[in-house]
Amino acid sequence: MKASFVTSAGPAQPPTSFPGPSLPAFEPFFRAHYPAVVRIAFTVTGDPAAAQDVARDVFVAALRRFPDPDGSGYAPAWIWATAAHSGLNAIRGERSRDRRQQALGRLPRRSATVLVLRHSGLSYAEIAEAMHVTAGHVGTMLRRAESALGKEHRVAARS
Amino acid sequence: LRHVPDAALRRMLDEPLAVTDAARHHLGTCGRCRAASAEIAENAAAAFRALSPAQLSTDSDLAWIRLQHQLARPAETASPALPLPRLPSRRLVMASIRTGTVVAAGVLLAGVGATAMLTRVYAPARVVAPVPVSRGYLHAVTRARDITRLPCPTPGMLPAGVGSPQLSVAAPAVTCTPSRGFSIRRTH
Repeated sequence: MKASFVTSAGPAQPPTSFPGPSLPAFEPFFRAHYPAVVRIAFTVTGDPAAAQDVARDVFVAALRRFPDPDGSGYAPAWIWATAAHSGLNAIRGERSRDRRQQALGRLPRRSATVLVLRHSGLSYAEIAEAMHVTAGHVGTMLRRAESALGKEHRVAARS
Repeated sequence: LRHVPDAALRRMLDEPLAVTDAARHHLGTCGRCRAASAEIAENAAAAFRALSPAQLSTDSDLAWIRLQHQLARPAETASPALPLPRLPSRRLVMASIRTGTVVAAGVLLAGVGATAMLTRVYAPARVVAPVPVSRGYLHAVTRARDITRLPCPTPGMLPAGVGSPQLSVAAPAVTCTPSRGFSIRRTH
């Protein structure tokens, strides 16, 4: 299945009031996945403060979408993918981007996403779950993305 | 003989146990697959160098507190729904801070320059240490004026380095203004 996780997840709707009573249930989920989420954001931004901001916003959105994340196995994959996308959105249009961010910004979104997730330490199975593809296809996406990244670097080095 | 797919060659670098034994055996005997694997490994290493971030320490306790604070804010002031903005506020704030810092630094430097110039203009050409004078000495000077009837008696002995003084006595203050840094002042 190659459905886009963005469209499958859909845009988050801001709540009129926050589901406060679900916070205690959400805390273990937060503590279990915060390091991975902030690392994904850090892989994109390269800025610890910006990565923490992205991670916080991702969990706010996750709490609105999954008030009881333990009851939904989809939540971890969703926050991994959302962290990558949010980080890529954060660097888009930045004027002071470094070479990594420039290269990521020029790649197709799915290529950049698979690169970020893999180099943040996620396994093939986790990436497959986040991107709604098979684990075997992750290898194909990763190879193509790394080849494209190498070309971007070579172009940047010549210019 | 079927060659190993690129996906398997790439995964073999990260998760070798996830690749079949037949694929690994073929890789060991096929020059074409070895060349492809070497190219894939080179690209993967370059991507690792480019993307693998430095060490990042995460404080989940502090992050949880910040998240709770974020959630405590009213919905309209909380973070917008995803996709998230590009963090313009942080960048703009930092740019504003940098701009303000530059302006403030410029004003400060200009002020320092002006102060230095004024300090040079009004700087004393020579600083003379004050000479302590006792009340008895002043009384003696006053008595000397009464005895000699001179308008300005001259001290017989001056500290080293003090030139010829111009001494004036007036009531209620007695002031001695030497030409080279000698003064006596009494106030009642």
